[in-house]
Amino acid sequence: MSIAQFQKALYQMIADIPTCIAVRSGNKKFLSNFELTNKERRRLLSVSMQPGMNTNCTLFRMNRVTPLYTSMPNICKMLQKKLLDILLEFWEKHPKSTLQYKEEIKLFYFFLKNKIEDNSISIQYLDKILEFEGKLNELRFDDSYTTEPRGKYILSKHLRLIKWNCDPSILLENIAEENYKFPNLPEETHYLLVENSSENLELKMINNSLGTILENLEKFDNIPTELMEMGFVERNQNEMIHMGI
Amino acid sequence: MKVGLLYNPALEDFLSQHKYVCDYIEVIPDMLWTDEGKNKTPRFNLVPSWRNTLDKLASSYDLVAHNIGFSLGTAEHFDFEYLENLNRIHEKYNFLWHSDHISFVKLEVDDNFDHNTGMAIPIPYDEEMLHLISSKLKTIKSNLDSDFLVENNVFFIDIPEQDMTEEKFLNQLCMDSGCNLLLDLHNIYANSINFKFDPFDFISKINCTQVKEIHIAGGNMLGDMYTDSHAGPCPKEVYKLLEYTIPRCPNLNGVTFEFHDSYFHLLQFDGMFKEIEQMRTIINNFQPCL
Repeated sequence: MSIAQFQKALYQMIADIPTCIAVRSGNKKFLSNFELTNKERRRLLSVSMQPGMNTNCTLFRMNRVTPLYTSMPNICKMLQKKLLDILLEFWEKHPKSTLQYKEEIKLFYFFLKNKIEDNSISIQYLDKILEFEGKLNELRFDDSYTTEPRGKYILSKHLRLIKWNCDPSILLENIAEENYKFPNLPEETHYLLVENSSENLELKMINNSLGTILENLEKFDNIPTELMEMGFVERNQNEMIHMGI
Repeated sequence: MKVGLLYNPALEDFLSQHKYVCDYIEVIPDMLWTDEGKNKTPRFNLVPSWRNTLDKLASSYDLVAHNIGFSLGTAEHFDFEYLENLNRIHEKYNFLWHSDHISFVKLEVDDNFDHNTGMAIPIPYDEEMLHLISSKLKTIKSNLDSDFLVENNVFFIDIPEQDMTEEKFLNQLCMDSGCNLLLDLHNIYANSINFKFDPFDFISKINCTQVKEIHIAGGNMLGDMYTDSHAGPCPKEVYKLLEYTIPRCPNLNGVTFEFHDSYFHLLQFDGMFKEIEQMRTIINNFQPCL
């Protein structure tokens, strides 16, 4: 029991800088929350005063940001100076993490989405780039950030569709060059398909008539067979079960 | 004796353009799956992109598994489902050997997910901890059809009043558990800088007959501490340690170079060739005479 308590206390001192500082300054309240032996108390007090605890606290934060920076690099770069405050807020709201990139990225995606929707963050095109990187991560981790689609037909599972209100090719070209000062683009509808092929994620611009069909698949009882033959669409297995097929 | 590289995505072009440049690729199996949480069926799902990558690597190279998820040092924790899943992956890829670290990265919590500690936190080198880890290693060893190695830790804090030194702990752990040692020379180097001891003296106290694999890597300063950040080339001081260690290790299977993909720009293809060449040269010149 005691070792487990010691480990929890040491972890919390690494994860929360004010806690470490409080222990260092002789505040006994934090350690009294744990069932520790006197030796374990002495150990925790000793390490709280060592310079290596600063390194631990920094590494803890670097390691927690790594999945986000690796899997949502453009979002992190677009947030620029706001990123640190947003991360601190995110970690305060979600203090626990798993070793799983998939879960951590998804949590951060919805955290940012909510902030954009309630206008706490206002950066031009951030919402679309968030959606774009979210779709890439859905495919990478075989995940879905939306509710299960209804209807007889659904978009093939290796595809994701993004509807844009501007020309995404210009935004994506800028991003490729790490230029995040986007020009004001005229409002026009475009559709982009992201495909998880056997090797890579591939992007394909499609025409608006195809995009409109793919966006509204749940409304169709029949679709052109070519869409299934070309791999854009598949039968909704869940819906077939609902219908008792 | 073989030379290997720890896989990261920055190596993809290098490995596909220079097949058989090394003898094995070490992979972190934990990257291969997502964990949906305890009591979920199926709990572990393969990530398609990683599965494709691993299949591709396995077609050209022998694979070694360097695990991070056993969290050997966590008290009151052993994840049997994790072990079962690893066994399933092992059956498919037939890893040459497996390893994990002598530290803790997880804490047992009430919900379905273990809590990630965000970094490998050191353990005190006490008798109690020795028994705890040794018992876990015996369980792993009896359930995994492969050699299992434990890796010495890097640490930035010095836990006082420990029952034994790190060298003694490593020797005793291998003896008690029947597992072997993955000796990370860069971790020893980093600890020797931060805590001012002689790394050669440290290695001289290790029972090197138990060493089956050696890790080398680069690092850099973070504030006042030298870290094992795997930042590009391996320092010449670590190569000196390799020259010193290899003749002492009659059972060594391989030497592995680790770097983090974000530091690939410090290496490039030329740098990779240089690291591999240096490892091969030292192995050829210093391997023990049997």
